[in-house]
Amino acid sequence: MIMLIMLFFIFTFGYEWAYLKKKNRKRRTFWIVFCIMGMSFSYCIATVVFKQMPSPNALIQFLFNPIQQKIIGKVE
Amino acid sequence: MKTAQISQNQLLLFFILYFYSTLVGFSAGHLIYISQYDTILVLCISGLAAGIYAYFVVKLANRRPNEFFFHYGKEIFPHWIHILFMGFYFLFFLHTSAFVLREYEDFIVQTYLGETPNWAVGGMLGMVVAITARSGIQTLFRTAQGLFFLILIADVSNTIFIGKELKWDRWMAFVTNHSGHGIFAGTYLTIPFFGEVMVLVFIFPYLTQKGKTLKTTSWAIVLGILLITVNFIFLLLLFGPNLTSHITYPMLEMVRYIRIADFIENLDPFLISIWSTTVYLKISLLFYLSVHILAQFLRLKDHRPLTFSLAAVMVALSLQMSGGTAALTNFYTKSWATYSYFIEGIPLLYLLMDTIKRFIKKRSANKAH
Repeated sequence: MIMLIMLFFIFTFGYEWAYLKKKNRKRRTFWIVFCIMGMSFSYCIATVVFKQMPSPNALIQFLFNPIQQKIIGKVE
Repeated sequence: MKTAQISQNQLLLFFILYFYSTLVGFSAGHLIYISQYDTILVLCISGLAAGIYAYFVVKLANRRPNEFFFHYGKEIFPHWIHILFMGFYFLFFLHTSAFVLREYEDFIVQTYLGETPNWAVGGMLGMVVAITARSGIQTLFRTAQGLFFLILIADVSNTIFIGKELKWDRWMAFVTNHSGHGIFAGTYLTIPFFGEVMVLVFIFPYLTQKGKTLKTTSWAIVLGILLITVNFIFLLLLFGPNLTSHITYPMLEMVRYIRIADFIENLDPFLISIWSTTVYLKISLLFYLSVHILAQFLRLKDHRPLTFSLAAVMVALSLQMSGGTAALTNFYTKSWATYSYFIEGIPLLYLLMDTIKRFIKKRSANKAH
């Protein structure tokens, strides 16, 4: 799985590099695009390595479940 | 950023498919469980509420029709509050696109591709979504326009063929069986589906004939509800509320009832084609909006270089967000609606604040005179 993710990001890196070069984008744009790509890569790897990572759904449920229960009652 | 052009016709057809997609595909069982035979009433009330909400959303967008919400929002709220709200929207759109993707992955893996891992299904659809989003919003709306009639024909065919299997003596229950709590709870859970018309605030500069937007949206809500209602009525007439609410994908089971002339016995592909297309359109728009907001936040010339990176996040998030279908359903039934109300309420706050500011400005101008 990690290999697949790495392959995908290597391809994407090359593709975006060529796109930005072709469009003559500023150095700033290169930095932003590849930083976002780095963060995305880290997140994808983290989801594979740390299987028990906290999910955003748990946070949303923690915040909104009590409110919803108060409004419409308990629905099983 | 250059603004593309989306016609009112494209907007109408897109919204009909947008409303139809997940409500019929993934939420039918739960809605019928809560509202039973009142489901039809619930849909009508929700549609009415969505129409009123759309009026305010369009009113806000119409005040600065050629500017993006991301740009003019900071004139209404202080900059840091506006950025915070935009952050919420970015996360909401990304999370919702991942959520719908996960629902689709589970559906395909459970019913057709038994041994296939979720990441393969998510990866393939994610790639298509990324390419569509990269091509731009106009491509997305043109795709919806092109596919609309195919989807309509497939859906109408399904409902016509199922007609003879229905138990018509159940119709009386639509008149006699009512529950106040069922109507209230069902409406509470259904309004946010239609409340997603708030996307108009973000895509408004792309529209042509902006003055007709409210009319188009209202028609889309009416026609969308009509299409959804027909499917729900047929579900109730075929299975009744109790059986329907115990089936994970009642629409799929309904289509499996169709037998045509003893030689066409499996019309599932009709349904799969409808769902795959509508779900793809919904995910694409939500994903596009999240990429668009991020690109505007980072002051990039266009959103394209971010699409593949964020598509990877969307797919990873869809896989990571829940341990299984039960946990996903639990999240959807217990907190999704309230979470959506909070997010969908933000444009109303902007409208209120803008109105107050305009009023104060006008009054101080009058005093100065």
